Amino acid sequence: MLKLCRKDVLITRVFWIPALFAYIVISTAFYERGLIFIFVNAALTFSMVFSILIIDDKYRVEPFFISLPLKRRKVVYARYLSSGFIIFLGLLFYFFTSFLLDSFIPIDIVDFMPLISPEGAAVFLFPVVLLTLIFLPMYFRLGLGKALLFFPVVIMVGAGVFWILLPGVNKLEKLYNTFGAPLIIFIAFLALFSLVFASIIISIRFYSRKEF
Amino acid sequence: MVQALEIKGLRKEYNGFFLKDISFSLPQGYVMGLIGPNGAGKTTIIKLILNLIKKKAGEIRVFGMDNLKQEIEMKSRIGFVHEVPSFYGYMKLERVKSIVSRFYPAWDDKLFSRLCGEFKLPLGKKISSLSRGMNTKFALALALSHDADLLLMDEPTSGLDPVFRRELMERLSEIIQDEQKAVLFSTHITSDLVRTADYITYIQGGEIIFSSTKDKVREDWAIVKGENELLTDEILPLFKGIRKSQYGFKALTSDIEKVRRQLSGQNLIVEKASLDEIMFFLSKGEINA
Repeated sequence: MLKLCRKDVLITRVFWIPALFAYIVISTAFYERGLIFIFVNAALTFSMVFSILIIDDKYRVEPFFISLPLKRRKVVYARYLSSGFIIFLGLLFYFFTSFLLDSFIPIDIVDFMPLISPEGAAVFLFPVVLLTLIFLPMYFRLGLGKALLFFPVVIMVGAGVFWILLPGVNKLEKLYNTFGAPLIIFIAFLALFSLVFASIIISIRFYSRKEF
Repeated sequence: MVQALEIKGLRKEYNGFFLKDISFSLPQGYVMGLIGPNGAGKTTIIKLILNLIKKKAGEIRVFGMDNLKQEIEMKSRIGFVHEVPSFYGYMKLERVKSIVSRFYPAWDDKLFSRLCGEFKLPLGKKISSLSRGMNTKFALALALSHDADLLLMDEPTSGLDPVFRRELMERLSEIIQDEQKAVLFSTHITSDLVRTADYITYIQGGEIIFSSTKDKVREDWAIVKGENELLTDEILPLFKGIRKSQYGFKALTSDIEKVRRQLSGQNLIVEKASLDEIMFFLSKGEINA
């Protein structure tokens, strides 16, 4: 599995310099607005995760790798692991640049310190992880082209569901007030692990049926 | 005799194509050519062995190992060359090798370097700069460098120049010299088979027409030539394919003795059929020229 992860990270090398350039240009353009700065970082990190899929799809290497001595579920695990690794690198990079900007830009213009915090990390990670966990099963079922086509639809449906469930957020607030932060953190981690688990299981199911 | 590959009752349906109860076996130490017209099911069989597509029924065993239950062990003993070898175009050959080699415990770097030298493969160049033939050579070098016991090759000679085609066929013959290895390759270039294959499996429309040794194929199949008047209702079922012209007919048969018996005393020519002729007549059926 680690061999596949290594391969996944290796193949994205071609995007590292363009991504860095895009990162510098875009993130410095939005540095005055903290939330947008976080989402630009998140979007660029997601695009790096995405680049693995684009490269594999462009060169149609899947039949080759499936023919190697490995199980399909290992390919799925490896894809999640390498995505997680890239997201982790993205998070580190986000912290690093926030810290750099905070050190070099006068504090009275914008304060970056709130971004370098667990809350800042959570706001960064939430969209990247969620999009990755939703997109990967679609990719394993439909392939890149079709998954890209249906992804916006799924996101819109998801946003609709979120909108309907929004009143439930008030209940979370009540829970927070009653039991404090540890319970909310526990629920958040539980939700995250459930989502990761469900996404991997669905991806394995889809990928094991896929024909090349 | 240990079977390198054993296929029993293999069935597959997809996109309107049916693979019907395919059964054949390839013993260790031999080369088998899988022939048939385009769309016959040759690539499907190879994909099924490698578990790239899912079978509907049947059994595939490689050195006695089930291709699904013992997938990793089985694939470790297989070297493969796909019809269109695909790698990352922007990567150098050396880098692709370093990715692939990690998947095989028995990978032999020295052998790989030697093969690259023999095939004149530029390890420092990018995959995208290789021609189709060079790409196939690279795929072959990867397939041979981990001491594979069964080599599966899907149309390996298409796109190759005649010189390398001949070299490749000679190499396949060398591979099986230790009698521990076996090669299955699909092709529609029958001259490749004549030189190398010990066994020939002919597939058409998803069905096996025959699977036997090359010598038996040459013994069993014949071209019969005669006048059109000889083609009576009794004799027609003995022919697998007929080509008629105003000067007479030319037909393929696998019932040589029966044809001789039924048409004894007639002006008849019976010749051994070449693989090209077998393929032509079986795929075309009856033709009026």
